[in-house]
Amino acid sequence: MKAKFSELKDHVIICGFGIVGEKIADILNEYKIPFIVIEIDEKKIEQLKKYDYNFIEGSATKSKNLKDANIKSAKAIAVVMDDEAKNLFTVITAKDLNNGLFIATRTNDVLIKDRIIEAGANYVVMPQKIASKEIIDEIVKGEAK
Amino acid sequence: MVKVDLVSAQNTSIEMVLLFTLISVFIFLFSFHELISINHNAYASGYLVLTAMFDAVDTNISVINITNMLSFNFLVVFIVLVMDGITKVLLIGFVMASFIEVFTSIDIKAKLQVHDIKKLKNHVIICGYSMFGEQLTIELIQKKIKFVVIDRDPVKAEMLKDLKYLSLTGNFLSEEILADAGILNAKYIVFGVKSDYSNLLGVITAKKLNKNINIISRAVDNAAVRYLNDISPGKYFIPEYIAGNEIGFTLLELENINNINSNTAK
Repeated sequence: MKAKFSELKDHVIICGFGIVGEKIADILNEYKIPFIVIEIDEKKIEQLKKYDYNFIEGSATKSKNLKDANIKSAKAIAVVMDDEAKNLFTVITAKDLNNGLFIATRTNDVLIKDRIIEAGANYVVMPQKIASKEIIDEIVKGEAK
Repeated sequence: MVKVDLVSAQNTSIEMVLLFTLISVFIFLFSFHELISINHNAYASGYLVLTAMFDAVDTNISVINITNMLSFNFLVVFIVLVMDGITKVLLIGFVMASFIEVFTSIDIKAKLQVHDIKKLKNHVIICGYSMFGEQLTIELIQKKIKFVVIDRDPVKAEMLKDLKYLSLTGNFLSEEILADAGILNAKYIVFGVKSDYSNLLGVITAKKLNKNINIISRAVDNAAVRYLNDISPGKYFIPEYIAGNEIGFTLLELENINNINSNTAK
């Protein structure tokens, strides 16, 4: 597995294959951008096998798994696990392993957003905030009618 | 909704009765001491104070002298008067305490709020003050759109009161609560809890009460979006799905920018 991924270059690492991770993988797959997923959950591993996506089984918080995903040659990393603490640890580890890496992540807390940016994330998405903005757009459109 | 906490009301009533009794005992002892100090004997002092305190002031004690005070008839009358007094103290104490407790536990502000909510028209009802609901209220305030929040968590209810939002405490699956939230006059209803089952039931209830209301709901699973659309076409979304899109397309943009840069360099 290690030999296989060491050939990857300018790829994207996706940490966590939940709803967010799966959506990112779908988009990257559609546009033929190379990516690799790091996931620990067995059910999701089965899903990854079914989709024939590149994956590493294990926790993204461990630097060994990030190194196996050839993080030094990667272009970006999407840290999108459903755990604020794990996301923060992974962002710090990823930044440590490749300082020039573009780091995208998710959080639900405004305070944590600031901390994650300080820790090295370049782009932080807040699912609840984005969703509420979409809803507001819908309501405002309705109000205008 | 306005709720009366009966357990706390009972506790407070007992406390108030005890306080009332203590005050009565103090008044008795003080008056008794004062009467003795002005040369009344103990029987006469006790009798005078008790009859005065327990509303037996029309009892003519002048006909009772020191000798017949020790008679059986006097004792019967005296015991009856004391029993009558104690009953009055307990009864008045309980009635007063209960009345005060019930009166203070009625949240007048909440009552007035329900009145204000019923006056709303074309407003938004937010079911569930989750992280998403909270974000939505912030955006609605910025857009100056009127809204009512329904949440059953008393802690969140207090928080909403502090924020001075129009809110109702209760289950949004209750037709009564939705009616109090003015569903008949509302333009939108948003279900924001992280449970497909609750949101689904909420959509069914809302549609039953107001067929013309616009429904917006969050979902956790893709399958739930299909069910929701089957029940009533509306705006259904999965926040994490939107976030995935956002990150995915940002990474695509990054790829495109890099390609443009490398082509320019060539």
